[in-house]
Amino acid sequence: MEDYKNINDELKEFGSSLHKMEKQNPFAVPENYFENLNSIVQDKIAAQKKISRSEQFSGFMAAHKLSLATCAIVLALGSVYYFKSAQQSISNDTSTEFALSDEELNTLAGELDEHTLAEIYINESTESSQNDSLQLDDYLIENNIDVNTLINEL
Amino acid sequence: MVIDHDDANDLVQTTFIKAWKGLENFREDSQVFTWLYRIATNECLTHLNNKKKRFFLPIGDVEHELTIKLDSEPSLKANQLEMKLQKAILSLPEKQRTVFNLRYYDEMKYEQMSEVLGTSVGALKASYHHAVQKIEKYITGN
Repeated sequence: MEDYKNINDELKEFGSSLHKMEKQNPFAVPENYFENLNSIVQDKIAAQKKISRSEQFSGFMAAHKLSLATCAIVLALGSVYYFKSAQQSISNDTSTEFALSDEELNTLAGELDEHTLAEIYINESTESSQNDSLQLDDYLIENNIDVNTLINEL
Repeated sequence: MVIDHDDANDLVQTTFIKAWKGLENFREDSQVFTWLYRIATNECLTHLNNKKKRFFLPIGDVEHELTIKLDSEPSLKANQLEMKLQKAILSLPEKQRTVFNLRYYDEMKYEQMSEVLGTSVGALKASYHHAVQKIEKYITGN
């Protein structure tokens, strides 16, 4: 703070009569004001902290009200769409299964006759007997057994 | 600046709360005293501006309201001349009023005032000079 004298001199320089006035601030601080101020301020800071924590959540909700509502609607519509499409795919699957079996039946009825069935049976049986003989050869080679010896023993 | 004792009390508390919260951001290139003054001055000016906005008052009406409060404020102990000076101060624009109060009552140096108000020393001297002239005119005129 500057000296009272300097400020008064400045007022004189300005040609003001204020320097003649006895300077007195009419606004006074109440008695013991600063003694209690510390605790009042600390209490207010603590109260504000509590409020700010609880307001954080509600503040977030209030600030993002529109986006939260949009998210909820999108989720609801999405789930409805998902369940509907899932149901539809199940019904589609069963119908195609039956359609295919009908088609197969029609094709089989049109194309297969007794000769073809007999050919298929013979082919399958020769394939299986060939497989059996191959397996037997492998077994004899692995165990080093002579076929003639085996025949004589039998 | 705000005349009303309850308003002043609220502003003092707000100032200290803001100072406490902003203590981490306090740069040591300025004094704590000027920093506190800066917060307090900003709070006062914001309070007065909010009052204008809240009640849709023109600038002059707030000063008129404060003058009425001045007559009814019980904590004010002023003689007739002192009361006249207070009314003259209230007739000043906000910035000039702040400068006058800081210089005349708080006897603050222009350099410190410059830190508080963020205005150049030259501009503050000119502002104080204008304020003194207006007050002189008001007192001699009434």
